Amino acid sequence: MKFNSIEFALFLPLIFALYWIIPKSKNYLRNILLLIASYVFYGWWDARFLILILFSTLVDYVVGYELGKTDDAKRRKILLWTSLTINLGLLGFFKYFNFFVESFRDAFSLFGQSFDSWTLNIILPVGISFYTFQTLSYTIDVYKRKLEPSKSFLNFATYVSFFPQLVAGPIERAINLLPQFDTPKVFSYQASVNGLRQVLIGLFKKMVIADNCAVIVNSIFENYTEINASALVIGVVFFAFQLYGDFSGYSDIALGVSRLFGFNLMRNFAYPFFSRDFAEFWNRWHISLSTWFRDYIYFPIGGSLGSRWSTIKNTMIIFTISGFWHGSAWTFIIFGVLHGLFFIPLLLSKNRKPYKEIVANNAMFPTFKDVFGMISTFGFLCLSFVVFRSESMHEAKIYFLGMFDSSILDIPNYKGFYDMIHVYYLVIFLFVMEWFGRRGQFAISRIDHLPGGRFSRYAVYLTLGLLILKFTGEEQAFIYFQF
Amino acid sequence: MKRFIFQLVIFLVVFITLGEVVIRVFKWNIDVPTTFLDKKDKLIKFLPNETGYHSLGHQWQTNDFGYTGNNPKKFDKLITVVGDSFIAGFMNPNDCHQSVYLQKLRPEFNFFPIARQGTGVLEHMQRINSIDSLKPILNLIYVEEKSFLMSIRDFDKENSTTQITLETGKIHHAKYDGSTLKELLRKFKFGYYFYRQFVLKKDPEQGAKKLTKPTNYELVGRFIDYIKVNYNTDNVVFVFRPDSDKKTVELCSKKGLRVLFLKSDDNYKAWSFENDNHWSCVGHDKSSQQVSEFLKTLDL
Repeated sequence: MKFNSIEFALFLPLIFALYWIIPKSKNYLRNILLLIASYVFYGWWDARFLILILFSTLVDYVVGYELGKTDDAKRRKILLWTSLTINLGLLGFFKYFNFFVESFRDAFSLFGQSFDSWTLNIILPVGISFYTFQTLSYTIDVYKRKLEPSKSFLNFATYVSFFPQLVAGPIERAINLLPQFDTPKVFSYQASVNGLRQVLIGLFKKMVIADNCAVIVNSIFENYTEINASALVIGVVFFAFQLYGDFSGYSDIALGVSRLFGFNLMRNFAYPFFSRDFAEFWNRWHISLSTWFRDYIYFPIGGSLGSRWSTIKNTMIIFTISGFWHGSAWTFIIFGVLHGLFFIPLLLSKNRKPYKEIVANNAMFPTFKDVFGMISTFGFLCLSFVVFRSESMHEAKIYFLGMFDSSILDIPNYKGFYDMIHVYYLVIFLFVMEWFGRRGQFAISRIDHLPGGRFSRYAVYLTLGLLILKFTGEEQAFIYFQF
Repeated sequence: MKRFIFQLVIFLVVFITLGEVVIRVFKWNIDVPTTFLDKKDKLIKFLPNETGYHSLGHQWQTNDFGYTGNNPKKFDKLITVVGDSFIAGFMNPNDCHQSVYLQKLRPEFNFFPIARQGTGVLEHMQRINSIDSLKPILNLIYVEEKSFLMSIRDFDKENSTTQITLETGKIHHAKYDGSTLKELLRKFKFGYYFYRQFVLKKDPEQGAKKLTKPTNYELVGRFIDYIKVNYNTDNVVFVFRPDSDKKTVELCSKKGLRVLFLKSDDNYKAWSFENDNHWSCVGHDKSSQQVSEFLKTLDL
């Protein structure tokens, strides 16, 4: 079931009403309801996926339970590796099996050897990368004794499958989310209003920005050999906004829906396009994934504690894995490597101070240095997005070469350039809205502070609502579902 | 909780009211023509002389007979232009209908548009019968293979048009839903716009039922035999769209129906709208030229 579907528009109010009808004292009933709702939500795609998530849940629950019972270091290690092998094995099989087979075949063919390879017709279960990482975080935290094992299978199963964030994150840590299922929730008016605000902005980002940008992007990437440089540049810039609108829109809806049920999920996006360098970008883009890699891989392999060379090596490892997490293709691996390379100058810089606060935090407009930082970061980001969006490295290479052509100053020549002018205005509208809302959790989270009180708030809601009504684009699948 | 629900309801009321106003003022919606069931011939018809806006920016209108387009200039040397949504042409401005193009090309005749969306061959024949008193000299029926199949209940049930069960010979008239609720929804522009944007747009085929089964030529053959026995096909020409199934066209021809198979030497996609397979003005222009040339070959 997709967030931007009629089914979900009926499903959510029903579950919301049932949830709050159940008395606070019967918290287990509320959790049963959430578990059933989550399985219905997930099974809507394909009921067979439920077997996999149930299996993954059982494995980690049992491993966590056993970890809690023993202090024997060797046995604890065996239990941890059991969970890692099963979870990563499933992920590897469903997501990467065919990629490895094909890559081996291609590698052998380089040396003039050939062998009959076979691939499997595997359906990638929606969101497997997300919930696998989520269950792994539980097991690792229990193993490291940062978290007590869950005593309730019901609560643990609901944590793994919690429908707002099941298929595209945020990748929640058990430390944050699991205890929330133990605590009976009290309805909060303010939290629910904020939740709906975030759902509204999320729908706008997805249905208006991402789905409209997709039309331009698809048209350009499908005809990249026939169009001029300026159109190719527009293609990748709009892809950046499509990806951002799509993924951050999903996260906004996930966070907003969770708030309606009294849950607080971790923030996943914090205005990444206002980043002044790549370090800041990765603190603002897909935060739940970047912090997952930081905590569970980067720190354990040494992080930045060793020599500068060791830090660079660890950084490259992390970004390469991060790229590979996105998909089983060389383009994603190269995307990760590129980001690692963009990061290296920051590691080599001696006087660099990390950006901790949002740009122009105490001012209306950014300084020239900030503007330069934001534009250059966005520019390099777009270069990496060419690889991310391309079907193959060959396509990415042709696209790159096409962008650096003298026709960059010509009028873009892709079909539909003039028909899609409204999309440019919509992207600018989002940009402006995010700029003025950048000190809040999401673009309209601080509208209570607007002069004009309820009138201004209604103006914002109604404007967004009418824009969704008018400019809803052709429905596209959420990009991150495939990961 | 009560406050939250109350505020939510207030907001939804304000939003729907504003939406209704904006949709009406800026004409975002397609005005749906009023239909009624003519009890005499059991055919669903549009209300005569009605006008409405199409979201593409033009106004549609129905003529004195309740069909989209103009009235025929005169009723002598009358040629009917019969069909489904391609000919009803709500998506086309009034000067961009098949009958208007034909009228310009062949002013010696009077062209009379007779069309309703979602209809098949059997209903086309019934409509021709219903205006028999006007004595048309020729009836041009614009079809594709689906137009035949959707008339056959043995193939698939389709409530939008008249069907026949070939096994029993029973006629099933198109289902008319003129309920008060539907009338209310017709006037509730926001609801209709919402339906189009968020339900129909996601499944564009919902408006025009998908034909997933392969063509059953045996049934089509029997249906053509039925038509030939029960209706006058001597003054009928079946004008097939360029993307029609060739075998169906050949079958019609073999069974003795007069057939014109339109050709699109260039890209047929250019005949249609960007995101809609109906003919745009380009399609109507190109098809009418071929029909006009064909008319020259007939002794009328």
